[in-house]
Amino acid sequence: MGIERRRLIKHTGGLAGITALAGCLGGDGDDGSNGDTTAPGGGDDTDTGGGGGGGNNIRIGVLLPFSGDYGWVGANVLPVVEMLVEEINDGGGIDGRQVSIVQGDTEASPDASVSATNRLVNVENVSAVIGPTSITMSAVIDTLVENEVPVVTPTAGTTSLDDRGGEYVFRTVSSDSLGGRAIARAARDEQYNSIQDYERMALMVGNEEVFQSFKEPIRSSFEEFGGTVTTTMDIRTGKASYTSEVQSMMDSDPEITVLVASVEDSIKITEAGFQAGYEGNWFATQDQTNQDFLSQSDNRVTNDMLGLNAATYQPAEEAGRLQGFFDAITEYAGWDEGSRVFATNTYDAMNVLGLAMSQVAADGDDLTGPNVAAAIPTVARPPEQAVTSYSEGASATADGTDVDYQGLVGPIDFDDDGDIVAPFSIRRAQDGAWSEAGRLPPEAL
Amino acid sequence: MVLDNLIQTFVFGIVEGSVIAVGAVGLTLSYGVTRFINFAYGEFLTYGAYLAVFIAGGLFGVSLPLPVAIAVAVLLVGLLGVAVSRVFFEPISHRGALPLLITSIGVSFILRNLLQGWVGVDARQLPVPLLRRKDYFGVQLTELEVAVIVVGVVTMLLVHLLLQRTMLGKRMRATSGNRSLAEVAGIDTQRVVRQTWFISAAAGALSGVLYAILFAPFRPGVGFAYLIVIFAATLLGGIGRPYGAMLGAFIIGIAMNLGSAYLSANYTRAYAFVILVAVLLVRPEGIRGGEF
Repeated sequence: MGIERRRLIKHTGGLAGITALAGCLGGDGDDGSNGDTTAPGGGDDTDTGGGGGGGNNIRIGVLLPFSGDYGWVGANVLPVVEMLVEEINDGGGIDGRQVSIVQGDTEASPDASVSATNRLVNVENVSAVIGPTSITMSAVIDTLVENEVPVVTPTAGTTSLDDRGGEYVFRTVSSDSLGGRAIARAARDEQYNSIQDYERMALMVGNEEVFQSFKEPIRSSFEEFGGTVTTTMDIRTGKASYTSEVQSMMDSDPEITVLVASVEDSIKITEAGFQAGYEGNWFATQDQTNQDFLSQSDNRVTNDMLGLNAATYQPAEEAGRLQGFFDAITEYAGWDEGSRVFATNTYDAMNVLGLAMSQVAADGDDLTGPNVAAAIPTVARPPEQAVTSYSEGASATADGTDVDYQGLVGPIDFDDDGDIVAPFSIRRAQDGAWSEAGRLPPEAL
Repeated sequence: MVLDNLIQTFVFGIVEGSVIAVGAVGLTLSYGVTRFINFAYGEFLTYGAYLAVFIAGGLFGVSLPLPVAIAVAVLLVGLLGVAVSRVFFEPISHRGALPLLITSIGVSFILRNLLQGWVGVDARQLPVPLLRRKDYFGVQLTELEVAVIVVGVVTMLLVHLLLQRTMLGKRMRATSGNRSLAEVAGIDTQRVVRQTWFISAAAGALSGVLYAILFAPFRPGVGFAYLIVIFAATLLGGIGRPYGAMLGAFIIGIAMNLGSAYLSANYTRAYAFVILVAVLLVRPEGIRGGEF
């Protein structure tokens, strides 16, 4: 968090420098803080552009929660964006301009996300946005689209984007409707969960958009696959205790309960289930299928629990690109493992965005929102020359070749709504660690 | 089956009522003697829970066993209560209830943010074992839930003995009844006020620990959020009346659990207020009107 705060201060400080001191002092300030940040900020171009720090830079907004319960999302995404921005800048930038990052902290709250978005769009004049999450998507999407800001989100699976997007909004993460379908499929079929064919399922879903988005896809798919949904409960998030809710869940006698809730509420719910002698299994979404959840829970509660994750994309794994990315990001960010949630999605989002910008520049057009947004699907769709990184793609576009970006999470071929399909991995918890129980290719859904 | 569920829910209400009762007694004691509602009281709960976690986790170099850690945490928060009252409340104690009340809101923010700055906002848990419920005369409870009831009842009993059988209790009652008269009678009321602050804050800390045992994981905002439930119990019992607060706490605890089980689980804390509003409309002085 320390680094992120410093950076935030740097950016706001830089802004104060521009407005209040118009130039020299702002430049000094930026140079000073530049040493330990990765994105060459205003420092480089204050030499050339007299107006002030960063005026000539291409600014990319990272609009995510950096503080609060979902601070981990920003913490997982930002270093990846920084690493790629550094790669872009080391290669001479885009169209001769350096790229810099501006953080907008949504705090995972609609109110904060609106003001963060307004700042990015109206004050910082960002050229594109990485983010936001599902939690704040509906609060900010109209502002972004109306201001013609291209958005590539590595984090928003919300079904509310299923039939929106494709013009300005794209995502490098599967829609929750696919995720929900994957949960239903995996629960129904032993070959994907390695335990049994579950027939009776209960659903406990937090009463926020980010959770509710999963409810209908899971429910309808599970019935479509021949299962019975014993109860579908909306639960209020952030309660002290879920004893009553767990009791009514158990009264419906399910074999497995799908838990779509925050890590904290999930701990309370699963422990309440244990205390009350619940004997069925649990199935969690991407939100809880992480080490954070297991390390805060008792193994007796979580053993055999199932979880959903994005699966590794076979071609990326076989070519060693995935491991290459993990090595690079662990070294760059000082993480102990590279496979953090949303890290690979972010890699793809930022590469696609960078390539789209370099495509626009190669075509000799201005880097306006509509131009960049229009280029995003073209750099990711076949049948042109396949590329797997920004550097490789940028030199190809500079030569006038059309490229098809192949990502880490999938081939990244955006459909008309800006969505992608990607395989899922079904995880099973055992003694405090997740391991893969099965794999669901998009065709199985 | 239906009756079993009803009894079970009722007992869950008593478990939570024990937590509320310990907190409500502490709050109402400090009100009885100082005559203002202390909004910083919720932070005593939070500090109790967090200190217990950290002391058990080796804050002072050694990891103390949890019961010892809890006792140390409760004592420390008691001292914190005395310190807070000396620094913030005593200097303005002659200015009336309203400045004190506003000050206590400020103190609450200071304490909460100090804690947040120190430990961050991550959720914490007390190192208590996770247990399956056992059958006690047809009611399912974990041993920890039984322990919470026992601690609650013992605390009530101690407060009762303190008020009725000790010199301090008599001085507290005298100070509460009429401070000037108590002073004329030779009671060092300032000393009584400080001792009351200690007991009040310590009770708050104990309540916070009990809360943390039942409702883990928790965050720094936990005490302030739970304060409204404790207020409800305190006001329901007639503020400043310890016995009323105990009774009010169990009514609120049972109402919250019955409401969650039979109406809708989404409004747990709202049921506390429905009861409170109803009682206040009919009997504004609370259910127990007598002195303490």
